[in-house]
Amino acid sequence: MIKIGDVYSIRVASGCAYFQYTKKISPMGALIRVLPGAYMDTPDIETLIECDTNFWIFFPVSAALKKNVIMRVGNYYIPEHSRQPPVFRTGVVDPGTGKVETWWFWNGEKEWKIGQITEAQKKMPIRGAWNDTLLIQRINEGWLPENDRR
Amino acid sequence: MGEAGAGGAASESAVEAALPDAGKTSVYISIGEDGATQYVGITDNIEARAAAHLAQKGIEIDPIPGLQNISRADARAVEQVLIEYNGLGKNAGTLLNKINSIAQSNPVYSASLKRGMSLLKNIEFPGFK
Repeated sequence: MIKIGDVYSIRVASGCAYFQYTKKISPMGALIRVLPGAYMDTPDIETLIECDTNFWIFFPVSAALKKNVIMRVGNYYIPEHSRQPPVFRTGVVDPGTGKVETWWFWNGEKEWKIGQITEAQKKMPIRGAWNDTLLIQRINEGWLPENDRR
Repeated sequence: MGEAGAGGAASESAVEAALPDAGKTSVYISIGEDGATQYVGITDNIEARAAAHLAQKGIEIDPIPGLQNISRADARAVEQVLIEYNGLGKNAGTLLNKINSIAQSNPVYSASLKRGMSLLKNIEFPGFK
């Protein structure tokens, strides 16, 4: 049984990465904050969770735990700066341009249409749900929302 | 396949935008590296469906904004419009989907297509603005 605040490790190319489960939001599921870095030795988790979130994503934590692809490190408080879920951006890629032309924002409850977004807004998390394979791949790539090709 | 108004589901003219009815269902889409739509679907559990598609088909899905927590009937209507717009793979379309969401023999088929297009127009979905 997963609990809010749980920190988990997941094996990546250069060691282990860590993430914290923060909230379940229907219909997307379990929201995690992926913490910066990958480590060969276990870092100080209390220090690590204080860091700014590397990126936010929805991830099936319970299923991954059952598959033994993640390991529970412990339960920790969620720092003030990450206690509230962020506002996500989301949109459908226009096949004609390969880009999202009309962005929407979503705060976990409501969606609202924005249109084009600014460079600063490209740092906002992108709403999505990944499995363990994609999470590992994106961590290995150093993926960040502002670098997403959409 | 392609532009709204070019054929199939998108050939209905002058569709008015409409808001979806509330419910528990979400419509999602998967866009390939080439920009083509490769899957459309509906679900009440995005997390589980996303994990399943990644594991079984290797595709990433995205919920369509403006079409979350809507009625099952509205979700199926949109799904069918997008199936006809992009085409099933067996009919030389771009989709990995195997079957239609609403069969042409279904009495609600025509009304559902019109409803689905109205909902897509409302959210300014590419090709339906």
